Amino acid sequence: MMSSIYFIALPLLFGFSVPILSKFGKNGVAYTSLILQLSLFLLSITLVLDLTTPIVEVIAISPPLGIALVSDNVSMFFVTIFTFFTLVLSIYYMGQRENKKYANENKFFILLNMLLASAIGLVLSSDIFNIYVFFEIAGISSYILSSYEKTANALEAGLKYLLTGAMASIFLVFGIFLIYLHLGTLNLALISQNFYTLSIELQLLIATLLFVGFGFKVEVFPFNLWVSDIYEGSTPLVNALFSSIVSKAYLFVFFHLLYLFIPHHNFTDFLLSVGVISMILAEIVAIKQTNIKRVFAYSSLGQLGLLFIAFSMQTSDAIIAGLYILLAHSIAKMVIFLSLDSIINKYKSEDISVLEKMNSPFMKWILLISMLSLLGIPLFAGFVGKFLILKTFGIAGYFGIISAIILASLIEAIYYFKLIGLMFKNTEKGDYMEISILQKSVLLLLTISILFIGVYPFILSDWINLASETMINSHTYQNIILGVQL
Amino acid sequence: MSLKRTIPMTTVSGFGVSAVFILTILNILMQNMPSNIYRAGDELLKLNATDGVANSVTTVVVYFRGFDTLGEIAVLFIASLGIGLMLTNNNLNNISQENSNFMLQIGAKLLSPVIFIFGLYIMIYGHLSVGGGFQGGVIIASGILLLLISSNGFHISHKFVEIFETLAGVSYVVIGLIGLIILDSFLGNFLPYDISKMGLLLSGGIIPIIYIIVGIKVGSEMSVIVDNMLKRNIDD
Repeated sequence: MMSSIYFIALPLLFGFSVPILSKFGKNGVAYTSLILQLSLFLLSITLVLDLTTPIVEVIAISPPLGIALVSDNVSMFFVTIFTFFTLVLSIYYMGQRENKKYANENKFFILLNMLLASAIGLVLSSDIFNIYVFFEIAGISSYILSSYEKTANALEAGLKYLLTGAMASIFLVFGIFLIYLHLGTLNLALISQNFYTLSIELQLLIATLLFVGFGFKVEVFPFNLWVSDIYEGSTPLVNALFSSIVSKAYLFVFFHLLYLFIPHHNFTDFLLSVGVISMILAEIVAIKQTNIKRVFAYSSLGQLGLLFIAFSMQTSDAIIAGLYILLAHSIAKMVIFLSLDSIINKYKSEDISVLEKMNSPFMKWILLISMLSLLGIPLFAGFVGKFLILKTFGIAGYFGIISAIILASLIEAIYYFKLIGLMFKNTEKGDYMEISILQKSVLLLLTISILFIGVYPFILSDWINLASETMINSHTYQNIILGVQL
Repeated sequence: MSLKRTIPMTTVSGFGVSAVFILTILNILMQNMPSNIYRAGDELLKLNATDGVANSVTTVVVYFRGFDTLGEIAVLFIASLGIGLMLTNNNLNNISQENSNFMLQIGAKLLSPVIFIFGLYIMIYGHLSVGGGFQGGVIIASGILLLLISSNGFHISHKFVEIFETLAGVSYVVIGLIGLIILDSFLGNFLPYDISKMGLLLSGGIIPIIYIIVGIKVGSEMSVIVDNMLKRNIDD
C-alpha cells in the first residue's frame, strides 16, 4: 500500500531500531540504511508517476483539526530530490567506508535518516505546529552532524549552529503562538483562508517573526553571518547534506507559508531586496576566501540569494525558474562537496591550493562541469534556470534585479575561474588519487544528469510547470485539505 | 580611552534598540487583544468523549496530535544521542570522587522505590488522571538521578537501558503502522475503545498503551542523559 507516511515513519523506525540492527554483524546498520533509502527513493518515484490528484494522508483525525500530509506535485518534487540525494550520499559513503570510516558510524546513519525524515516532514506537513516539530528535529540533527568530528572547528560550528538555531526557534514558536491565539487553528489551509482578517500590524508582526525564524535557516542576509563557519567546521559530506537538502527544505517551507498566508504581493519588494543583498554580499566575500569549504559555503549563500529572488516574485514563471535553479544547484553542490570530501581526505588540506596538488583527471573534469553549471553556462543544467529568471524579470521590467544577477554571476566567474585555473595549472602534482568504482559511478551519474538537463531541459518542464502551478495556487491547497474526510 | 567610551555606547544603544523593539511588539499585542474565539483545541477536547478516555488532554496529546508526540520523542532521542556523542570520551568514568553524605545514602535508598512506583503510577494512569508518559518518565529518571548522586556503587548499564529504549521506540512506530494498515490512518486507534468503559484502566484502545511506551522511552532517554552528564573527567 502506497502512503506518504512511510517517508517519515520508516526513517524514524530505522533510527529507533539501530541497537537491534547492530547485532546483525558490522554491516547491518549500513546496509539497512542503504536499502531503506533505496526503497524510499523508489516509493517517491512510484508516487510521482501515479500522482494525478493530490493525495492527503490523514493522521488519526481529519483536518482542519488533525495533522495531514499533502503529497501534491510540488511537495513530491522536493521529496524525490531529497530521497535521491540522500541515496546518492549513502552510496558515496559506502564507497569510502573501507578506507575512512566515521567513528560511531551507527550514529551517523541515525542522524542522516532523521535529517531525511524531517526534511520530508517539513515539505509534506500541512500543520504549522507539526512543521515546527520537524524544524526542531532537522535542527538538532544538524547541530550534531556539524560537530561530528569533535575537532575545535567542528565544535565551534556545532555551538554556533545550536545558538542560532535556538534563536530561530524562539521567533518561530512565538509567531506560531500568535497565529493560534488569534485564529484558533494550526491548519495551514484555515490560516491561509483567515489570515487577512487579522489587523495589519498583527499581520506584519507575525510575518516578521516567521521571517526571522526561517531567515536563520534559509540563510538570507542579516541572519547568515554564521553559515560559513559551520561549513568550515563540518565534513564536506555533511556540507553536501546541508547545501542540497536541508536548506532547500527550509526554503520551500518559507515560501510555501508566504504564498499561503500573504498571496498578494505586499512584501515582494522587501524580499527581493533581501535576496539581492544576500546574493551580492556572499559573492563578494567568496572572492577573498582561501579555505575551499568556505569558498563553496559563500557560493551556496549566493545561490540561495538567487533562489530567494526567484521565489520572492510570487509568479508561476519565476517559480519555474527557481525550481530549475534549485535542482541544478543541488546536483552541482552534491558533486562538488562529495569530491571535496575525497580530495580533503587524500591531501589533508583545506586550502584552495589543494586543487593544484590534486592529481586526478576524472575529478578535474567533474569539478569543471559542475562549476560551469553553477555559473550558468549554456549546455549545463544551471543555464536553464538563470535564463528563465532573467527572462521573467525582463518581462516584468525589473532591470535593477537583472543587473544584480548579472553582476553576481560575473563575481562568481572570478573565483570559479580562479579555482579552475588552479586545477589545470601545470605544476608538480601530488600523489595519484584513487577513487573507488562506486564513488566514480555516483559522480558520473550526477555529472551526466547535469549535462542531460542542460541539453534537454524540457524533459522536466511538464513536471516543473505543474509543480509551480500547485505551489502558487493557495485556493487549490485550501480545497484539497479542507475537502478531506476520513 | 576610546575603548572605555565605545563599550558603554554600544551597550546602551543595544539596550535602547531592544527596548524600542519590545515596546513596539507589546504595543501591537495590547492593541490586538485576542477575541473570544473558538479554537481548535476546544473542539478537540469536545471530541474526546467519543474515544472513551477520561483524561481529555491525553487524547489530544497522544491521539489527535499523536504525530507531534512521535516527533517530540524523536527530538528527545536525537538530543540524548547527541549528548552521548559529545560527552562520551575514553577519559571519562562515572566514579564519584568522594563519598556522599550518609543521610543522603540512606534517604535515597528509602525514597527511590517510592519515586519509582509513583512514576509508574503516573505513567500507567495517564489516560485516567493527571499525568502521563512524559511526566512519569521524567519522575523515574529523577529517581535514577537521586540514586546516581547519592550512592557510590550504583551505576546504570547503558546496554540494559538501551533495550527498553529500543523496544519502546520501535513499538511506537509499529503501532502507528498497524493503524495505517488496518484503519488507513497512521496511529489510528485499532483496538476496541468502548465508551461505557471510560474510567477503567483498560479503556481507550491504543491510547494508554502509547502513553506507557512514551513513558518508557522518556524515562530511559532521560536516565541516559543524566548519567552521561554526571560522568567526570579523570584528570579533574
